[in-house]
Amino acid sequence: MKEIKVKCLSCGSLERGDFCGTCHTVLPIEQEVDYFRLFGLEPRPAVDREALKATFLDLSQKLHPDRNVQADAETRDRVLGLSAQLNRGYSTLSDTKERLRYLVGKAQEEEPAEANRVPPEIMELFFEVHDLMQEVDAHLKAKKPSLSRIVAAVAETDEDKHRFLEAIAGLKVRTQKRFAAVEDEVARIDAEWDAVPEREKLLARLTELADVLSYLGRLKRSLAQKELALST
Amino acid sequence: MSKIIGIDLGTTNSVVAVMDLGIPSVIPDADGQRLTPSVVGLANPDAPLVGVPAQRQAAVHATDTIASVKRFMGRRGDEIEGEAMARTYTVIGKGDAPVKVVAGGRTWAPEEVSAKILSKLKGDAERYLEEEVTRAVITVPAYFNDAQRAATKRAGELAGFVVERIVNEPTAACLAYGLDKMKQGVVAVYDLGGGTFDISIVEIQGNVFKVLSTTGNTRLGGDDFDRAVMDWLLLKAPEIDVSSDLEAQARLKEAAEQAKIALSEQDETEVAIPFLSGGKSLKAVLTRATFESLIASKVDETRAACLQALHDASLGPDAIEAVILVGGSTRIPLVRRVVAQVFGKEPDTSVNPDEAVALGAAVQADILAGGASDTLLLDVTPLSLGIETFGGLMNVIIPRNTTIPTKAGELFTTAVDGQKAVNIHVLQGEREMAGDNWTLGRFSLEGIDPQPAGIPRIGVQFTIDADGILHVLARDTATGKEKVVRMKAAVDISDADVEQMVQEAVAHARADVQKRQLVEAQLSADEMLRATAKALERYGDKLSSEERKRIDAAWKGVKEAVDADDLNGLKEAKQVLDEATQKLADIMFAEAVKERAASKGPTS
Repeated sequence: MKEIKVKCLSCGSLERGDFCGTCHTVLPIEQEVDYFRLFGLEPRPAVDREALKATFLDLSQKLHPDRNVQADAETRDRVLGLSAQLNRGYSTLSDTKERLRYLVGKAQEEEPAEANRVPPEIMELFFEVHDLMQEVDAHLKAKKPSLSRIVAAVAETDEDKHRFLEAIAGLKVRTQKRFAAVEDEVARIDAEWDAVPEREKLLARLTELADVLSYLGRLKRSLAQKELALST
Repeated sequence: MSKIIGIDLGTTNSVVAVMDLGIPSVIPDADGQRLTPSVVGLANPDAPLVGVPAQRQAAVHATDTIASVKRFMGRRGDEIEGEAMARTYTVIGKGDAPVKVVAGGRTWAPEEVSAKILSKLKGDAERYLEEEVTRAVITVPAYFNDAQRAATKRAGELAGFVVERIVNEPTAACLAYGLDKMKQGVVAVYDLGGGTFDISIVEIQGNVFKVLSTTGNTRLGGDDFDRAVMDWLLLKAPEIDVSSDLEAQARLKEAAEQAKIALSEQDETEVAIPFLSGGKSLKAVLTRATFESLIASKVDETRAACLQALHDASLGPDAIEAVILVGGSTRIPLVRRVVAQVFGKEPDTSVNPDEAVALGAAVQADILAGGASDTLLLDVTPLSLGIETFGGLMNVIIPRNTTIPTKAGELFTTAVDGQKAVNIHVLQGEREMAGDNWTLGRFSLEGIDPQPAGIPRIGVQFTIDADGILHVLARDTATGKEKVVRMKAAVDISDADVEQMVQEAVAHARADVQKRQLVEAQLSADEMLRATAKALERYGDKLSSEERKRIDAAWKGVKEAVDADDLNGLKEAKQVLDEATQKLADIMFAEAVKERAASKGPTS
């Protein structure tokens, strides 16, 4: 992977990221820092998560406000800004959906709009989850939390509850498989990335994949939420 | 420059610690005590008493002795009702106005009362270190919102401190634990104190402590268990009425707390309070089993929070290498059982649950002083931050469990031609509707050039700093002018209003509470009756005829009490039915497990 270097504004040495290892000062940055650059990465679909995390922890050691308590007010202000960028950058790049949206946004100079229609490839799964959720909601509505153990015991023998929990477990596995399939496809696109000069098509597909991940995330959340509501 | 001390400002007890030759240690007070009860005696406002001396005079000056004031930090009037804790002093506040407590003939903001505790700890530290101490790290429950954090910081400032950092309690405890016990792995910190509950999942990697998720309940703790025991004791002695006897209430609370503590070691305990009220004495035997049935539902609430925290961290229980218990209430055997069940392993009880938080605060203080140069804490914001949008919905700008510090920008524009100001409603919480969340504040972007709707562009930057406190900065993108926005928080109210509120609070509070309690008790009794009937229908044949008779009698007792509109009678009848059905509930839980195993069929 090619490392991107920037020139330190204090001492002039070439450095990675926004902390100068030569003269140990925090470099001034423009308002919107490029997350890939901040982590010394080339913008591309896939990242090495372990390496990203190591860089994040390393940069945090230098840029966190705790490391700059004694600095002057201006530096502390800049550190707060940089540290915030670093944290957001890490959460953006380590999450595939966020990373793809960010990458596409950089390439097309505008972040794609959030999808408001269910991607066709997960339509079937979506409706299955949706239907189950409605059934579970109706079931939960009839129940209220109670202080009494006998009430809890009766709820525990409730057959519907266990039928629902099993259905949820099954759908969770299928959702997880879809997540994995998207990750695989992102890896395949990443492998083609350098060989394809015209990236329009790849970017379009990455946008679709980000939408799929967005919907899968919603499904995962509502499954977990209902599972929690059923089991407590 | 002054040393930085670490302070755990607890609901029940507070502790101060400092880093001494690389090891965090608790600072004892002049009497050698390591814990200072968070109790402030304000009978004489010019000579406040803090800690044990305040506790000693609590029975005599019940209305002027403030305990558990932490529960009111950063709260507003309309939130008081949620505090069902036992207290002997008056709390006032209406709607959006900040809560105040009444003592020694005047009103106090909760942070003023907390400042008294902090001043005492400051004095202890100065005596111990033999130098002036002006800098402190103070801990708060992880699930504290912006206002509660800001109030804590203010309390520190009122006590004469520069508050160098507000740190989350479970994270601080983890710091104290991890430094000598773990180099790599994920731990869960289960923190159940006197008034608050937090669960945090923390990843330790070398010297970096990264919080993955946190959740909790700022209204759940030992105080609630005391309250449950008090209610039970009163049911056992219907002839004693303490409703207007504050001294008796104070003694009852103390006895309830003692009984709770005793039951962590013993299977049963005798509660005896001679001449409690009206010359009558109270005597009862409380078993651990009954105590557990009294607090089971409260403890169960923590189970759901643990599962939520695991989900937010995208981890299963098996990924957790150690579960650390913090807070005095984790000494309760039932609490330990629930924790062991949720995480599938016995919790680690190697840290002192009362001192771990303060020790961790001292470690963080040392980090800030430049001491522990490679230890780093990366914490998160516990609640989502958002703004109200069209249709009264909350639009999340910074989701919960985002690593702090963090920033998010949002562009605002106008809705009608020539509009000069835009009002913005900032919220914290997880609910979809804006109205269901906590209003952090409102502000108005003013001085916008009159233009057609949608043309002006005002950028607003929301920054959450390392203390978890929000700062807002607005920038007019046309002029590039920046301005720090002051949010309209709760407004101070006039003295006359305060006076009126004091009177109303005293007059109405009791009647309202009792009416609501009766309705709630009747609803839950109905549910119990239905559940018991269903349970008997299915598994009644597994009971002895004596057990069956006992349940039938208890069932009838509840049925009659529901119709009688008598709150105390109903509570007692429910307790009798609850105890009578324990065996039946056990049978059902066991059958449920069997049925489930059977329905899954043989596993290959």
